[in-house]
Parts: sequence; structure tokens; C-alpha cells
Amino acid sequence: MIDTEWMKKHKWWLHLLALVIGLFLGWFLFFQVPFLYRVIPHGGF
Amino acid sequence: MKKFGKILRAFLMLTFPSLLIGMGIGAYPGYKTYEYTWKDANFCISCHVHDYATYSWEESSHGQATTCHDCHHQPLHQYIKEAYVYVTKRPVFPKDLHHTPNVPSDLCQSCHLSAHADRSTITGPLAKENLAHVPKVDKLYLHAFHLERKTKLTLLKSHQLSDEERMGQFVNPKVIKQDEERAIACSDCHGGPTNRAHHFSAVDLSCVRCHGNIHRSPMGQEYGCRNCHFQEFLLPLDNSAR
Repeated sequence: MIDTEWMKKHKWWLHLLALVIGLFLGWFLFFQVPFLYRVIPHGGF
Repeated sequence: MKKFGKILRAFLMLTFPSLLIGMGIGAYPGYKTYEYTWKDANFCISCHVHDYATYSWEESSHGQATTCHDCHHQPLHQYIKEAYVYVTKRPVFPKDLHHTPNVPSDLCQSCHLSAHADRSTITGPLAKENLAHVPKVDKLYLHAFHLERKTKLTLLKSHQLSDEERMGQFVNPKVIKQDEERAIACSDCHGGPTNRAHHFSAVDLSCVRCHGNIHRSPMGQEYGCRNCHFQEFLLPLDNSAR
């Protein structure tokens, strides 16, 4: 059962998971945001 | 749902620094991915069927100042469709080279007219402050003359390439078809089957579409149109004897 105790026990795994999620989020934001900023105004959806 | 919210909140509070660090590390490859897809021609030509078009673009003045996206705009859903085609049925030259590409005049005009249109479409390496040095065709005699005229010829993008034309053989291309009257577009002279390779030089075939064999003597066939008329396309408007 996931609760705060469980989270404290597995905190390093959770940090690793957050790192991976952050990696993907950062890659996605810095790739997609400028790309969509270029594409949508000039080509539409 | 409430419990999930609590867990998520606890997760974020615990791992927020790691999330930020991950985003910071991911930002650089994300931006480089954007740069590759938007500014590097290799991304586009990994799929799009070209013969020597990319090479001639790179060697031309446009190759130093533009990217593919400066001229080739498309809607967002087309990128998704292209990703599907890339995986399932990648086009092969020459059999999949079907149509004559079309660049709408407003894209040329954003750089080549003094009273410019929307310049936000320009994404290439050419810095906006250098646009003043790009030749402005509305200030050149025969260019301005043609831009004021209309034509009834169909746009060249409607031309479907024959098997010979796909291989670069342009013998008597049948591109003369009539339609409703419209303003002359840049691609009428600087585009078409013979110009599909991104070279953009106007060829005599472009003149013949409208002017036919206007010279009674064989002069036109022997010397071509541009030998005599080339200079007037570059003559400044205020110096011309009109």
C-alpha cells in the first residue's frame, strides 16, 4: 500500500523515477513548444 | 481519486528537485531535436523524394539563407501522417515523384518585395536585419511589369509529372492550360517542372508559356529569350525608359 511511509522507504527509487520523468518532460517541452510555435501559426492544425 | 491526489502531492513534494534536474538535463537534447527537425535539411530529405533538388538548393543563394520550412509550410496533422508514411511506405525516387512543388507568392514576397508581406514565416539562417540587402523585385523594371499583369494559365502545381519528366527529361512539357484570370505568381516563371530542383532561375520555357513564338524570325529559338531580355529584369525601375 502506497503511503508516505512507503515513499520514505523507497525515496531513492522515486527520485530516479522523477529524474526520468523530468528528462522526458524537459525534452518534450523544449522540442515541442518551439516546434508547435512555428508550425501552427503558419500551417494550422 | 482524493487518495491519488494525496499520493501525487506527496510524490511531487518529495522528488521536486529531481524533477527539476531531469527537466534541466532533458532541455538541451529537446532543443537540439527541435533544431534538427526545423533547421537541418537532412531531417526533411530522410523521407521526401528529391532527385538533385537538395544539392542545387544547398549550392544556391537560398541554401545559405533559408531552411526547408521557410518555403514549405504544412499543417500539423501532415507531420503525423508523414511519420506514418516514413515507417510504412517510404517514398522512392523517381517513381514516387508525382507533382510539381508549389511555393505561394507570399513566401517569395516576404523577402523579395519592398512592401513586404508577413515576415514571420522566415525561420532560416538569414537574419531579419539582412533582409534589406535581398533584391526587391518590385523595384526592377520587367519584374514590376509582370507583377502588375494577369494570366489565364493554370498554376504549375497542377501539372502531374510524366515518367520522362520524373527522370529530368523535359521535351515539350505540356503545361499550357487555361483557367480563370489571376495575378502572375513568382512560381509561374521561377518554378514549374524544369525548376523542381530548387534552382529558381527563370528558364525560357517559362517565357514561352505566355509569349509563345512571338518573334517572327528564328531569333528566339536560336538565342533564347533571356539572352536579350535578361537585363531588363534587373534594370532598376527609376532608370527604365517607360
